[in-house]
Amino acid sequence: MTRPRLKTRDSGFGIRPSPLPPAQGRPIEGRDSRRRVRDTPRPALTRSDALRAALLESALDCVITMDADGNIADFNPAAERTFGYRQCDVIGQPLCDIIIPPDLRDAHRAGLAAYHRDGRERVLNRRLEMRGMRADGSEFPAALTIVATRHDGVVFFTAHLRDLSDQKQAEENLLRLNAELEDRVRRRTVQLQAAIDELEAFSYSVSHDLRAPLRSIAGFSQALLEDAGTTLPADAKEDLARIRAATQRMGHLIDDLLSLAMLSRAPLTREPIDLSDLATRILGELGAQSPHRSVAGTVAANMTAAGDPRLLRVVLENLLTNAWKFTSRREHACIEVGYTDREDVATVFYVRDNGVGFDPRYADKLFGPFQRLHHVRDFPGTGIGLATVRRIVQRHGGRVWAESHVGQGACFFFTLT
Amino acid sequence: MYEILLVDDDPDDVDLTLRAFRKTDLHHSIIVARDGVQALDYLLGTGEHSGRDTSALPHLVLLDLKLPRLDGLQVLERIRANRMTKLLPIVILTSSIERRDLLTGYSLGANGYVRKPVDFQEFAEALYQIGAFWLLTNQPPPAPSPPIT
Repeated sequence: MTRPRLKTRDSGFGIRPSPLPPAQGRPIEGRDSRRRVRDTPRPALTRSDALRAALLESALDCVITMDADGNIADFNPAAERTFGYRQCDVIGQPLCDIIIPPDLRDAHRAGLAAYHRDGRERVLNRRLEMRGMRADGSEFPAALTIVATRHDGVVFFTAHLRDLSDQKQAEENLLRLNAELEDRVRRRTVQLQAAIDELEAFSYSVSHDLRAPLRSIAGFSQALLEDAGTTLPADAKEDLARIRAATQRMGHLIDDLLSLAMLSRAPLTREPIDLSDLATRILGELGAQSPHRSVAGTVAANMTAAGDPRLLRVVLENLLTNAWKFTSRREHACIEVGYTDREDVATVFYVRDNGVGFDPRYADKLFGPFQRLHHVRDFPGTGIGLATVRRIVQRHGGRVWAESHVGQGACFFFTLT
Repeated sequence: MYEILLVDDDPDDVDLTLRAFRKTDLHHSIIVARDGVQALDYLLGTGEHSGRDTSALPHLVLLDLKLPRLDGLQVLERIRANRMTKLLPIVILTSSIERRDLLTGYSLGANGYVRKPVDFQEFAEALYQIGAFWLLTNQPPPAPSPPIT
């Protein structure tokens, strides 16, 4: 036999402070779910009372009513779960001693007294945050609102209370995670800075210490050639010439490596750049350097981009110098600089040539430092140019790739965003 | 006879520099300092060069940057801070083309900055040009006046 939790009175106010029959208390755990289905209310229970009872029963938050004397008048199932009391054990008990932590009780009593004395109140009708106390004495953070209801000259206080433990825990976790993250970022930044410093020290050392012995090798083989040249057999002279060529080549390698390292560190500025003009000027310079070559250069008009002027010049210089170099065996060399512009994707710029091309199987190797797909004796170079291009393009947030077939020219594409 | 102070700790570089200068037609003598302290002692007549007559300064200082004890930039700073040597023509001759070395070198008052080429013929050519300009073409600064007593 079920019975409504709240007895009704003729007044229609569904709460009375006492007495509730104590024997009707139910266990908190293992409540029979069938009991949640209400029987048809007794005739005395109005529709409004039934709805109110259902609301209190189903509420996720604690709803606790206190009478004018400070005793608990009602305690809904959520309150039972939160505080660990059974309704039947707390009805009629002083609320203060049951759910308020000891250090807050005086303030509670004083507030209630002040309200009765001259109507002063500081806690009604607004959101409060304070602590609640469970049956086992443990405390928890809570948010609550309290309203006072006066009926037939009798005042009731109804508190709507929510356990904030989970929320506070989540906030604390968030704060802790944030702090951990910031700490990790700090530590990583220190590590990164150390790596950068190390790299700088490394390139400084490369620049100084690697070149010095190279200069000795080059210098003294030259000295040997000068001092003993007349007595040396021809192939010994040839060997000395090779030594000299090798030192020069290594000198260039070191320089290229250094400039690649410097490129990665140089600050990047973005401004509008006329790539058409830049490409045309570079092709002009290449033509001036090798006037015997006949190269048909085509540059698309109005090709603009936002990027670092110095670095983008390095990109175009490298791509055009490559195109120039790898078309050197063509009688009718063609180099084309252009772009494809579509609304939905970033502008793709390209440098196309009709040179010797490369084997597409090795396309991914092209952009690694010191990777070469041709023999030095065929086409000179250190293999750092395209690595440099890739580094710069990546620093602009773009990507670079190439397409080719052996003997059919090559096309290098890049984006800058 | 023009006097050049060469400040360099690498014996190979010193030999190659002497060799390159020997092949020029510049009338010169080269004093070699193996580190920054030696260089300053020579110029200021202190330490191992105490008592040296310092009234006649070298016509040119060729200064390497990476040196034991006092490095090249510190030497440069002290030369410029001294009333007797502050106008001395100094050309930095180094392997480094690090931006900060260039910046500091010029900020401290270097008259020139030349990177040592790896190839000996280029190296010799660079030295010849430096020597020819600073010893023959350039008008040297006037000798410092003796302190007023």
